[in-house]
Amino acid sequence: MIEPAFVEYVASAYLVARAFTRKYDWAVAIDAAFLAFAGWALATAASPGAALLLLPYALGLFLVPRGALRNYAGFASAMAAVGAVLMAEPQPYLKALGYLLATTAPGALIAAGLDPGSLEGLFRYLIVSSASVSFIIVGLSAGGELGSLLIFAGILIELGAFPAYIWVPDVYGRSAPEGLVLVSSLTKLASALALLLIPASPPYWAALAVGAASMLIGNLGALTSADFRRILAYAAVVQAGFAAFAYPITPALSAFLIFADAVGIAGLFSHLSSPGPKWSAWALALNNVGAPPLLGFWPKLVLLVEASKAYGPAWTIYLLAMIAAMIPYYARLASSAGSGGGARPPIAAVAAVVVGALAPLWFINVLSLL
Amino acid sequence: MNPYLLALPFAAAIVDAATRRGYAAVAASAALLALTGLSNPLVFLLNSLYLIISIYSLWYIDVEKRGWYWGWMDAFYGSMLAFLASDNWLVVAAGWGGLDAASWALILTHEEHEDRGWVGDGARRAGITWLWRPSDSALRAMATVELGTAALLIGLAQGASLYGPNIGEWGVLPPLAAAAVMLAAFVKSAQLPFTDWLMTAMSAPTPVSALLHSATMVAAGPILLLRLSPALAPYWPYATAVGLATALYGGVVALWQREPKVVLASSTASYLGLATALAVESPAAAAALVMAHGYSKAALFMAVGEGIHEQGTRTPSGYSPLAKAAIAVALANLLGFMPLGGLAKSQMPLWAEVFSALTFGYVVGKLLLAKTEGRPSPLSALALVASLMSLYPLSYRFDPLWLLALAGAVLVKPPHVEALARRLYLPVAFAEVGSAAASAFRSFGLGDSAVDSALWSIPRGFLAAARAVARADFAVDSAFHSSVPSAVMAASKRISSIAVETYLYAVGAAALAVVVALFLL
Repeated sequence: MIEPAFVEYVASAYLVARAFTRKYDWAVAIDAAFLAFAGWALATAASPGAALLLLPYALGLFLVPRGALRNYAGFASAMAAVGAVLMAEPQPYLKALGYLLATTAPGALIAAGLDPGSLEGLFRYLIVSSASVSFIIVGLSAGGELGSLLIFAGILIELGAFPAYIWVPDVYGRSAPEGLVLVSSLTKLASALALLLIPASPPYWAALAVGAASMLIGNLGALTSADFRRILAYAAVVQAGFAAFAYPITPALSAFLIFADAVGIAGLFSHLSSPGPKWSAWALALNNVGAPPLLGFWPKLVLLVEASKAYGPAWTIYLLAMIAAMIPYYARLASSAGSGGGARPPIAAVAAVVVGALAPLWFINVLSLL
Repeated sequence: MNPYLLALPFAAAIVDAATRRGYAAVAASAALLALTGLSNPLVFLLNSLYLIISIYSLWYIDVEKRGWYWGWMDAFYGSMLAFLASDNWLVVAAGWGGLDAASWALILTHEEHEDRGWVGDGARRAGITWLWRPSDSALRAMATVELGTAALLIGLAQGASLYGPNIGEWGVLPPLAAAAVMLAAFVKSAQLPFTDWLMTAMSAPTPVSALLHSATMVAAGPILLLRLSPALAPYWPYATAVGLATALYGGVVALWQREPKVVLASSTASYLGLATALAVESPAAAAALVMAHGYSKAALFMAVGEGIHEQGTRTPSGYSPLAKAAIAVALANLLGFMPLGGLAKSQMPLWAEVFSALTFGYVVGKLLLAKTEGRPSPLSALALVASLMSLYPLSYRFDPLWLLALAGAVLVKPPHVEALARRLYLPVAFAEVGSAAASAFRSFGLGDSAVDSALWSIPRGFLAAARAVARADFAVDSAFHSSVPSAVMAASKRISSIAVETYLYAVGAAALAVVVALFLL
């Protein structure tokens, strides 16, 4: 693991530098440099493949197209990345701090546009998020079976899994899309990493039930929604369901699932805010459905194979049906979300295509982690 | 005999076909006669007769297709020479096939309209017209003898696979191969029931008949049998039965034939029947008989040919004195009253006198008792030379029993019997079998062309299948590219207008409440 003190020095230096930077380009450059450092630190401390985990955070630098708080997108991404790294520390207080940073920093960007809807969305999110963080802190302090259950519940609240999913369409539905780029991807990724890094051992049937119900409710909601933000909100519930469903198999698979979806959903919100070319919308939507050879295909493939081994054919068929149910609304989204000259969605789309197509280079490493 | 000498007749064929004269034929046969001499009696018979007949033809042949005639005559001679001189089964078979081809070609020498090329009286009897023109005769000959040649190839090939290529060294043949070889011999020498092709082969010019009936073609049948007599030894009863039946048929039918050449053809069938009957059991007797018969029959045809040539009809009214002398010598030879005939007769059983009597009957009745008219020509002189070749064995032993043949005098003027004049209606059976075979061939051809067109339609079927697959593929493609996606889109849009969110919220709130309650409890 990275020497915490060293991280603190660099993080402090970064904070100082960032506090005096007003210009967007400079801000992005400093944020990028810090994330590059974080990537180097992860690569040297863990493995070169671990640096790939920073991909959504790096994308977070670029995917917020507009809004008064646009300058802080990189900052929030960097803080979230620091939080993710801190969660890997053994000390419970560092785990709690890391989780707080990783969820709250990107969440703050909901109000990027400073419009009343987004502000209300931000406050609602902060309430939910503070509840989630509280569950985790209490769970970490309590320890034992109860603590484990509380930690799991806290993470599920943040993920927006059944039954605590209402807040997701509620917050997403009233906020501007540019503000949702980070909260829809980085906070979910933080929760998924928390599943991996903060030990919890809920009963396996609970995870299965929560996962199955979340997928069903999410798909129903997405299928019956017309507002693109609400579609993506329910899609996030479905993804939370996948993560919960995969959790008893191995928490790393949950993180892998959310990791791949984070690229797609961040790109799609960016597209809703400032549309890019049609193909980028399709690539991002298909990534989240899980079409080969996009990035999103690989974790779903592992999930299907492992679920068929762990849960049997009935649950595999259920999974397949849930994946198939995603096609109509993602297709509707990609075909009618409009198109434009936005340069940001293609960044995410290219990342999904390239990383997915280069899967042979890294997939074996991922499998060894699972 | 040097095998290279076999090329001589074929070289002569090329020269003669080109020059349309027969000098190369005369030269080649004279040269071969001088070179081979008496070493092989059957080769001597062939060489000497071809020399005489080719000289005869120099006067006789006034046909339009002279080059054709001479070329094929030389090839005919060469084929027989190859058949006689070689022991290799392939050369024997090639010579055998060459005889078929040459006799087919030579039967076609006369034009279709020439009376000399016709056989039969033109009557309509028993459902057929008794008239055969050269093309009919050639087809009948070819269709019949090729059956034998096919059988020969099968029989000889099996023999060669068992005992090696040299037919002189073969042991006893298995039944099937023996049957094939004997069938070939029977067909070639016009044995029953294949006799009738020889009767209508009279369409050929007389010198062809003289050669075909004496030293070549039909003689090849018994010669094959006697050459293979060790290989066929156990099967002699079949050869004897078929040979005797044909001998009797030919001898009796000859008495009632109107055209002198058909009389002689019938007689040939009869004598070759005798030779066939003897060939396997006593090959030496058969060889002597083939020789005696060869010179006599050649002389008879040549003598009759003078009348045909001078009078321009296949039914001459009489013969010159010299021709009659030749006929008389030939008859005496056949009856055993000449050295060669005596040699043959001395080796034959007594019942052979029956056939001598029949011979006396038809030769005297049909030829010697005809009018004596016309001036002798070189043709009859050559006929006399051929008949006098029967003097060549230097010793002669007479058996008084042979005088029994003179009893044939009672057969000189037989009463008319329609069935016998019609050759016991064998041509009718021949026509029936022929047309049945033709329709069998035709239906085989139809079946074959049906199979062919079926095969040709396979590509069309493939094309149609490929088109169908392409159409189906297009349908599936358009379904996946447009129908299914637009259906999904439409369904998605319709579903999106359903308002269930309230219920979803309610479910969520209720579930949350339950969880909290459970937690609190």
